[in-house]
Amino acid sequence: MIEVRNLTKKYGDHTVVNHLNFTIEPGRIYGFLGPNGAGKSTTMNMITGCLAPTAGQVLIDGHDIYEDAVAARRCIGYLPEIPPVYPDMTPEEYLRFVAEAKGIKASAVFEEIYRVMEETDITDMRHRLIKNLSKGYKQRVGIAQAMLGEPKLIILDEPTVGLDPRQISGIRELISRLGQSRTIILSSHILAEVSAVCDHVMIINRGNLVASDTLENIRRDNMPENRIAMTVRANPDSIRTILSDIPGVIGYDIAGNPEDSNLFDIDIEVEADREIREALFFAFAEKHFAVRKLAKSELSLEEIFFRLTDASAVISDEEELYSAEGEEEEEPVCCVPAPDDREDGEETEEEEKHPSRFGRKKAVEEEYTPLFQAGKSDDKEDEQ
Amino acid sequence: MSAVYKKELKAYFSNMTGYIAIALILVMAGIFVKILNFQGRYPNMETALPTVSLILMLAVPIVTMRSFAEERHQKTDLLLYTLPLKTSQIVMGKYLAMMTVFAVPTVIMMLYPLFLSLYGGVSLLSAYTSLLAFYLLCGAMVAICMFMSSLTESQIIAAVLGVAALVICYISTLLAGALPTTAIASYIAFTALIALLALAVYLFVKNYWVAFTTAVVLEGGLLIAYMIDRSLFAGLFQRFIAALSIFDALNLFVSNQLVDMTVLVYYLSIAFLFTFFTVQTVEKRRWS
Repeated sequence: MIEVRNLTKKYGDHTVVNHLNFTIEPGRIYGFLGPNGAGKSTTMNMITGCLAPTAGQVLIDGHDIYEDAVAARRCIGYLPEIPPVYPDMTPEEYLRFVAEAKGIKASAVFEEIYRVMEETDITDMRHRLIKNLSKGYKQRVGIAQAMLGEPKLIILDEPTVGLDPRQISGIRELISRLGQSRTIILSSHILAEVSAVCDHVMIINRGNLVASDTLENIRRDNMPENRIAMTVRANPDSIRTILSDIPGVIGYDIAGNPEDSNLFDIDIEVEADREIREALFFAFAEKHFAVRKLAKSELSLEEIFFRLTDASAVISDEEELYSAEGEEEEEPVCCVPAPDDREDGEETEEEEKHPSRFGRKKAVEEEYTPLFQAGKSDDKEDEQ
Repeated sequence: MSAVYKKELKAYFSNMTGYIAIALILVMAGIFVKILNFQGRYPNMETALPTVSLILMLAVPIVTMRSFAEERHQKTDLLLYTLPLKTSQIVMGKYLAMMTVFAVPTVIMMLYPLFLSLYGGVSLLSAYTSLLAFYLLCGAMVAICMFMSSLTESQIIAAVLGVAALVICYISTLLAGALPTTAIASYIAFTALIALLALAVYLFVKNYWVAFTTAVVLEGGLLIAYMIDRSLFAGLFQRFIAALSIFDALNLFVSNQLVDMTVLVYYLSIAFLFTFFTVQTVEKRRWS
């Protein structure tokens, strides 16, 4: 579908995208993940032919994006970071223009416009001027534009930025639905989004592709060792006795549970590729100790992301991201509300004005943690 | 191309710009045709056209300023780049839409000779060919100002650049006339022109060597010509500028009362050249 060979973009001495090589297979949803400034948009612009690379080649369905531009572009529907809509047009007029420019037959234009408007749920807004629409609707008009003409490949650059939680889940459903029949590339800096809809994840950092695989494989490959997390109602001595009888245990830590003084959290290091969870369960059950939790401890995608994208690079980029997006507070960036429902308006305002003063930790928490914890606990339930 | 054309044309008439440009031209034409033809009892309406063409210095930039600057400003240029269209189709779509705006006052002015013919003998041939020359002058100016719009992201700067370019076109003959007509003065003026050209080349290709080579080659040619026949250079710069002046060409066309094909071809060449430059500028943005 897409072949990217040695793609490089330099601005003067500054390398934004550094020798990218990857292939996109048809019929899957690809997630393009990276901190802001990692080169995601630059790469997308080069794949779609909006920006010429310094070196390298992009083949879309066999057509070179520069040599055979018109044929290559016919295969692509693209939603750039800022939806390319004309404020003085209505969505219907705008979609008609794009449909005609894409060379859709005059007899089919009307039907095609209504199909994409239905799919993106903007039919009710079709007669309003785009400049009067909310950011979410503008975004959907942008997605509708990319869907016109049923291109084989749809590229969406941060499609859910600025949408409310309901719209985000709507857009994600739409993307999943589209992904059944088409290839989709989706860029995002929101991990939950990528883990929710994508089959395949590419992580890019400072213009380099640092990982490209399915989510499961990325998780597995970045798992440092085989560890198990347990919470049991037992005394530390009995725990030690039980664990010393189980083969495969290399070492363990026992710590009191903060919620209940009778509970203990155990972190067990296990020999690689050894499955001892059932043995552990029966060993404790036999002694009538209640097992409250028993799961493989895994790195969250977030932790993997930080590990892969080099902490120092992330810090500076993250700060930039937060201060830039802080101005658009009324439209939340992530789909889950911030963890603490602060009622102290003054403090919040102060924070919005000077996000950097409150450090990166908070920004990252708000951006990622709440989103990700949902996915994490789901995983654990599965494990149990 | 037709999709871009339709969209652009609709845009000119869904906001004020199209109407303002048409009104400006028609008001000027109305005033001068009344003064010259109805009050002055002169049968040829085309004598008003060189004066009417002065308002184009304002009307053309009003229409052209948004053409490419606005696309860049709204980031809709990314859409145009990803549509299965060639850059030349996009530029032509926009150019033809603007020319359609200027066709409206031209067509209305085509009625004037008919009204005048009610009162006596009017040379319809010279009136209509003059109107054709006027329309092609619009075409040349639109191409120049569209090119200015493709250079910037701001409509205001695009408009200012457009007006400046047209004003320079207008006053260039006056300025050149102020220079001494000696051979050495012509030589120096041409050298200055070559320096400007080299600067423009550098700004476009961002390469010292290409700009430098262009300057050296042109200056070398100039120097050789100057060595061979010095007398040729006397007053040459004035003649050169006068020949390039797009406003003077219309004057010439109207006052000669002949179908001067060189003028028509000249306007068409300018239109073609600047449309080509616009395509190159839009295409270049992809590479920078």
